Amino acid sequence: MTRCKHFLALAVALFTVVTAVAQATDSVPGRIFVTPVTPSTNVTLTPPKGTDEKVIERYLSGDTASARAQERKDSLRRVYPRYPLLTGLSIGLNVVDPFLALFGQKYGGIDVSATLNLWNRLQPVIELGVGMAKDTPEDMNFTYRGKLSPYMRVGANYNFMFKRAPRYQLIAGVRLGFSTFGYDITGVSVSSSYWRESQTFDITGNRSNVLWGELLAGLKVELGARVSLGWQVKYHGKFAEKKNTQARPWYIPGYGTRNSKWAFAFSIYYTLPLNEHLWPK
Amino acid sequence: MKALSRLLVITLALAASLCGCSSDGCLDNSSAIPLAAFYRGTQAVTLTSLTVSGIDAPGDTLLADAASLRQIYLPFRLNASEVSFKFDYNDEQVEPDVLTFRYKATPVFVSHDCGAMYHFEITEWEFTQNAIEDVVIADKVITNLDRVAIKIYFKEESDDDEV
Repeated sequence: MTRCKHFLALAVALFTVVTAVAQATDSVPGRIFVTPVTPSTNVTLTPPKGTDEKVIERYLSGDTASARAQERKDSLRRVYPRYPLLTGLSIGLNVVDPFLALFGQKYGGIDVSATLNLWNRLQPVIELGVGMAKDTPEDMNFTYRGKLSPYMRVGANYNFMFKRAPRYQLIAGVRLGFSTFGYDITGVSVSSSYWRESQTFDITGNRSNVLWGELLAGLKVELGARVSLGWQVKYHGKFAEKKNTQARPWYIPGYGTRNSKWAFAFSIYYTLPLNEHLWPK
Repeated sequence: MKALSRLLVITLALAASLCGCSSDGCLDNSSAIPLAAFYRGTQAVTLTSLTVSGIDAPGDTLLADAASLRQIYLPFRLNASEVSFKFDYNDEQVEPDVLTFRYKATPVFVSHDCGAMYHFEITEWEFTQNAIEDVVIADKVITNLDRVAIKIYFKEESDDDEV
C-alpha cells in the first residue's frame, strides 16, 4: 500500500512538472525548443543524377568542396562544350563558276580552299584559284579576253554553331583578296556614220592588279564520309586597283565583274577531323 | 537528302540571279563626240537658221540645216587628225565661219556596257571671226561623257539671235 502511495505521488509530481513546463513554453513568447535528437556528423549528401563516378567518390570520401567545384566545371562543359584547338582541316573546291558557265556565264574561276577549324569556332581560311574571261557581247564592238590569271583570298570564318558537332556549320566571315592579271580587248570596230569612215584596232597587253575585301555568310553541311557541301553569299568591294586609263578591266579573277557587289560560292569539302578523341560527347 | 537537294536548287538559282545583277548599262554616250555650245557674252544663246556641215563630208551631208540650235555635236574624223566645220548663218550680211580642230585619237576600252572607242585630245584649233568672237576648249580630252567640251562665243551685233 505504501509502495502504491509512493508511485502515485511520483506520477502526480511528474505530471505536475510536465504540465508546468508545457504551460511555460506555451505562454512565453521567446519559447525554447528542447530536441531530444542528437545531431549526426555522418550525413551523406546525394549528388545529382548523372554525376561522374569520380565526383561521387569525392562526395563519399568527404571532399565535398572539391566535388562541387568539379560538378560545376562539368556542368559548364555541358553548356559550353569545348572542342580542341585543332578540331579539323577542310579542303574545298569552289565550283560555282564552272556550273554557271553551263548557263552562259562568260567569265569565271575555280579555287581550292584550306580551312583550319580551331575550337570548332574560329576558322582561318586560305583560298587559291585561277580565273579567266572571254566575251563578245551582242550589239557591241569588241571581244574581251581575260587571260588565265591567279588570285588569292585569306581570311577567317566564325562558326555560330560551335556547340554542335562540326558537321553542321553556320558561318560569317571576312576575306582579303588579291589578283594580278592580264587582259586584251580585240576586234574593236568603230565607225562614223557622218564621215562614213571606220577603223578597227586592238588594245592588248593590258595588266592590272586589285586588292579587295569580302564579308560573307554561309552554311556547311556534311553529307557523309567526311564530304560536305557549303554555300556562301558574299558582299565585296575594291580597296585598291592599279589604274589603266586606256582599258579598265571588266573581269577581275576571284572578284567577278568590276561593278558587281555580290558574289556567290558553292563548294565541296573534304574534312579531316583532328583530335577527335578530345571532342565533347 | 530531299531537303538538301531543294536547298541546292534554290541557292544555285539565287547564284544565277545574282550574277546577272552586275550590269548597270551604259549611262554615257557610246562614242566620243565633242559637244559644242553657243554663247554670247556669258549667256547661252540659241542661234536661229544655222546650217552646219563638215568640210569634205561625203555627199555634202549637213549636221544642221537652217535649224535653231543652242548646242551641236561635231563628230571628228576617224581616218584623219584634222577636221573642219562650216557654220553658215544664212544671212547675206554675215559670211560663214570655219572652225578647224587638230587632234590626237587614242583607242580606249571604256567599259563592258559602253564598249571601245576613240578618245580625242584636241591639240590645236583655229577659226574665222565673221560672227564668232572666240572659241574656248573647255575640255581638251573628248570622251563619251555627255558634257560641253567646246564653247563658241558669238559677237554681240547680230540681230538674228534670241536668248
